Amino acid sequence: MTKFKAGLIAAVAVAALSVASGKATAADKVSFAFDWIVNGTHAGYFVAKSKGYYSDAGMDVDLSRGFGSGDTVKRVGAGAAMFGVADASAVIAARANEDIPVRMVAVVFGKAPLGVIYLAESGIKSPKDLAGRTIARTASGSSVNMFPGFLKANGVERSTMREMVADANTLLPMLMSRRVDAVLGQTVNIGRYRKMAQQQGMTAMGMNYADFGLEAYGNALIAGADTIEKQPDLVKRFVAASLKGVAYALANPDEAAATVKQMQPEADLGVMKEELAELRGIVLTDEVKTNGVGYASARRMSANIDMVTEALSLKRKLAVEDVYAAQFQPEPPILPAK
Amino acid sequence: MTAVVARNIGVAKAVEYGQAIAAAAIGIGAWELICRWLDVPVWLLPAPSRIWTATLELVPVLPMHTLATLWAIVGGFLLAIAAAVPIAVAVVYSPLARRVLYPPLLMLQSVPKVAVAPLLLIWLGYGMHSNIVIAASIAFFPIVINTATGLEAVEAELLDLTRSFGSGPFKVFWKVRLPSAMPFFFSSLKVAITFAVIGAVVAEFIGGDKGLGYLILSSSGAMNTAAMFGVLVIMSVVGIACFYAVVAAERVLCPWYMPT
Repeated sequence: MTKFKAGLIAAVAVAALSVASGKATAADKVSFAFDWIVNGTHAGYFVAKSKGYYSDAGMDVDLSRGFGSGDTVKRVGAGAAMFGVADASAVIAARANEDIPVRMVAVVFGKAPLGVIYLAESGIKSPKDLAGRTIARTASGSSVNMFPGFLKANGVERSTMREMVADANTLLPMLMSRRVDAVLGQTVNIGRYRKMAQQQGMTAMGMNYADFGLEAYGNALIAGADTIEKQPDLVKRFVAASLKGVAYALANPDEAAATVKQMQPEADLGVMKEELAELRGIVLTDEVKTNGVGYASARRMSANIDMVTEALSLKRKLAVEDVYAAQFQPEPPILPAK
Repeated sequence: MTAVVARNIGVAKAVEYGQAIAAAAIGIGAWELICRWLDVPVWLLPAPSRIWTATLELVPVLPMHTLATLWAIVGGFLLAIAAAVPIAVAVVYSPLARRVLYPPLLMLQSVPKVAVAPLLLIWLGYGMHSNIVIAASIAFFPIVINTATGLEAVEAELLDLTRSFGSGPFKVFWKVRLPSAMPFFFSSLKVAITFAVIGAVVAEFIGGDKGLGYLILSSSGAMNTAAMFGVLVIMSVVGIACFYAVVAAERVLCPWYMPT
């Protein structure tokens, strides 16, 4: 009831404002929720906003932080945000277990930046060296979901490891205080670890699951089933403008990081630049170099579904169309700058 | 005659409980009906029946996790009392202690524990003892404040009277101040125990692979909203049980001011 009232008041206020300003705003209001706090991986969307890619496509996009991919999936499913950034495995789990009405409309991370982050000083060099070590991880999340598959692919016995479960913000200090030998996380954020490790005269390293036999997709742009069905044109425009921003940010990382810093002053410029450098390898896969940014193949998506279904013992097995709508790829494709 | 009165009281009690149970049943029934009529998706608000089935699936692991949380609650609660009561006594007897202790106490209370808890985990290490300390740090403040207020709330005439009879400070404390502080002390314990429940779960959110907090995180991570709600229900049952345990302790320990 109060929500309704608030909505009514907001609507009246907006109407009054547009009358007062004397011009009709034709731009579509679009809310866009990230997967997590603002970081370098979101630079492309800030670029798309500040360079006017969104407004040129007739959209007024409101960017907001996220609280984990799972939460973003729910926000988009409930219509609290129109579009979102969420990890492919979170979308697959949400579709299979709870039938949340969302789909991926473009896959931004051609390979998931999930993996093991460790200190060079620990003597870890390959996945095999993880046997017998103590690791820290979060209670849930993509890096945890994919861990069994990574171990299996590399013949490491999970039971030999000691695992500490902790909040995501605790993993970095746990590693730096050497309470654990390695943590599971997003290797794209390794800039944060490197910075902290350097201050202590150590070296942080990342081992991406994708480079060790586990080929999974990562963050994707997602939209609600309702939006896909009723406003396909809007989805198409949104995807194209967003991906254009991502491509620009990868080609001009320093400028893109500065753009984020300008709009989000508390973000760390140095860390974002590192994240953008790391992002190149994650977005610009061979598949993307031939088919354009945002592309996902049905073959790999299907393998991805298999992986997540097994890792999380999901309630039902999905088809590619259940999780991914392939019809929104930009035309012509956005090929990365050489 | 007394038997009749007793029976009447018994009937009245039964009626009271019946009302509470009926209200709960109506609430749960309405929840179920609304979920079904409006076809509310399970990930937004699961119906009680869905929660029930999801919780049944958790039964094999529930006792272990519930016990872990219960330990953290009880441990944190007792630790909070052990730390808070001496501080309250010091504050009442020494103006110096009051000046020195209150500012840092207020500071500690104003700091969101969620923000420092990750650090506590590094400082204290990983395990049950960290959870107990985090639960205690949240539960402890109301006990200090209320107990100090209670110890001070003795009528000045009563204090003068006992002193004029030649009672030493220890006897005054034991016979006058302490009994008169008990209602304040116990009302703070009732607040503190609910804080200890929150603290224990916060601690499990931040670190640990046992406990109801962990179970909430893992079921929400696996996109199993109904199971998450089930754990929340169990958590609140644990909280209610702990609360009434404190109420029962009060009845046993301080019968003189309790309503029958």
